[in-house]
Amino acid sequence: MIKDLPELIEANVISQETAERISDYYHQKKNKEPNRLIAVFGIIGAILVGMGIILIVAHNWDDFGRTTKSILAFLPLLLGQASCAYALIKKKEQKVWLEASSAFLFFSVGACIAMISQIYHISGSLPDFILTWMLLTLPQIYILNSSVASLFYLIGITYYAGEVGYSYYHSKEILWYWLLIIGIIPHYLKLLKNNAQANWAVLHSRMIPISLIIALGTCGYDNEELLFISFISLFSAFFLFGYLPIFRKTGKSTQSYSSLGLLGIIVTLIPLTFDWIWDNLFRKLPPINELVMTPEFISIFITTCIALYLLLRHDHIPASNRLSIIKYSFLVFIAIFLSASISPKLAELLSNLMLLLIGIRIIRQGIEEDHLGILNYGLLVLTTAILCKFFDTNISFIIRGLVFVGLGIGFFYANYMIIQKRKRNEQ
Amino acid sequence: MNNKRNLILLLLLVCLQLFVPAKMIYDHEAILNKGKVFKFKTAPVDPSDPIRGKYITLQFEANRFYTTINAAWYSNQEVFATLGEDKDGFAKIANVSTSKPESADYIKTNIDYYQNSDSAYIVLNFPFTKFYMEESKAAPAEKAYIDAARDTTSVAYAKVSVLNGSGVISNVFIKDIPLVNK
Repeated sequence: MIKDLPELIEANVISQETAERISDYYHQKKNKEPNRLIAVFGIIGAILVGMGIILIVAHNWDDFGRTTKSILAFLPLLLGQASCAYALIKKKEQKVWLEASSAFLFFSVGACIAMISQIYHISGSLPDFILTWMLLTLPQIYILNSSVASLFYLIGITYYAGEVGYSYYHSKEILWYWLLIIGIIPHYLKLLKNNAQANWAVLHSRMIPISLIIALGTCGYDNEELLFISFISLFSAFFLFGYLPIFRKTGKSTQSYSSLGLLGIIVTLIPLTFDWIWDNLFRKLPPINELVMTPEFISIFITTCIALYLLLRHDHIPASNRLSIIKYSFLVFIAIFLSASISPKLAELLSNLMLLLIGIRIIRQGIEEDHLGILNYGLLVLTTAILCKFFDTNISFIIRGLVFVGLGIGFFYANYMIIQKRKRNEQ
Repeated sequence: MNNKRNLILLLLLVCLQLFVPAKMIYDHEAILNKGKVFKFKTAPVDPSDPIRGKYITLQFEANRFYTTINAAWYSNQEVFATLGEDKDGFAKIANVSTSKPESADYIKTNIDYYQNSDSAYIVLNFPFTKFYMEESKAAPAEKAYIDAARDTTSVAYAKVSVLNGSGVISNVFIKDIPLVNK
């Protein structure tokens, strides 16, 4: 670009002044870039060293006595703390110092308590160990304003939820996860307010929903089927959340909430198009007074309230968007779920229709936006809905074959139409 | 101003991050120094922990306490196990109660399960079952353990210091030879 500037001035395309401003802009940008690289490598370096210390500690040095081992356990911790203090006093303006020190401190806290666990053969479970570690590092996120610590904290508590919720059956300790995830919210909101497009904000926007999805699955105990409602409500909430004005400027990258919400609703609906899920559903459920106290019901209540709040108070989906109807998914699905108490067949039919309707809506949105990706996404949803019915019912092979051929032709035709339309528009 | 506040908060965090591991050391040192030492006969199981390294799991033989049929015991119930010694000097469970014993040496633990049959008994979980070892030594130690279990003349046991309801393993012995030389 800078090379072309003299030519552009000569041709009177831009003035001398504009050329200088363009040149200045690129020089400044160039100066900023190495900083970003140093930041990335600095942080990755600190993370690797921190993780390395954990592994070295895991070797378990038998040759040293208890006292030597205890002193060694505190060494990386003190180093990390000193480095954080130095970063806060002297290098306040340099984010990389803060983030790298914070990453190092995060791991040295883990290494220290791991080493003490070894020295005294403490038998506490892995989740207990992670819980102590995370509680000790949570304040770092706020004191050092550290997003690295926040991301690792998120990974830590998600791992905790997985260990406690999936391996230790019926453990009440899972409640800790929900308290711990609240701890990260102020930091995340601050990141979004500053710039929802910045890398740290985008990374958080990707990982927080994944963590929530993993943790929501742990709410399933004796009435796991009810979690279908919780998931549809959660995904509807994601869908609405992604359209908040705070994400508007950010384009595709942080629209991940809406895309994830839509994908989640589709994936959750797929098993529900089969009849065996619905058949025994209401026979299994406990009476209502017991039901309201189950974790499944509580999770439905909370996710649905959040989705409802977003729908009533913060619905920013443009009415022209064909997909805006997705925001009602959770309400429609609750109705479908309740309809199963009258007739499981009806619920199955309605689930199929819902999935088909979503597929058609996506196809229409694809056509309107002139977007082949969205169009084929919709076609894929439609095909999946139809294919699922094939596994489920006894239809003659001839009809199955014909439908497959029809679907294939549909794919070709829809894509062909879009391409033709583009050609016409270009002419 | 904001930075000063953050520094003070960091100082508090530093104290907390140092206090928690230091307290862990203090508590466990107290048990090792002041606690009464018991020898628990044991059997080995498999090792490893992704973060804290290799360990061998100890399974204690004296984990049963015979009780009455249709008693009010249940799984995961918090109990206090009073310890005693058998004629060979190994630890045994002398009594199990739901309230803290006034004197005597006891361990605060929970019930694994209650076998409510003719000869009813409860099986206890022990709060000290992991013995961490250097990674290169864990596998041979496990093998030595298994061999010891086959050899009926050899006895494997863990030395555990017990104080105020908690226990800390100080070493594991096979035929009176310690697994870790300290």
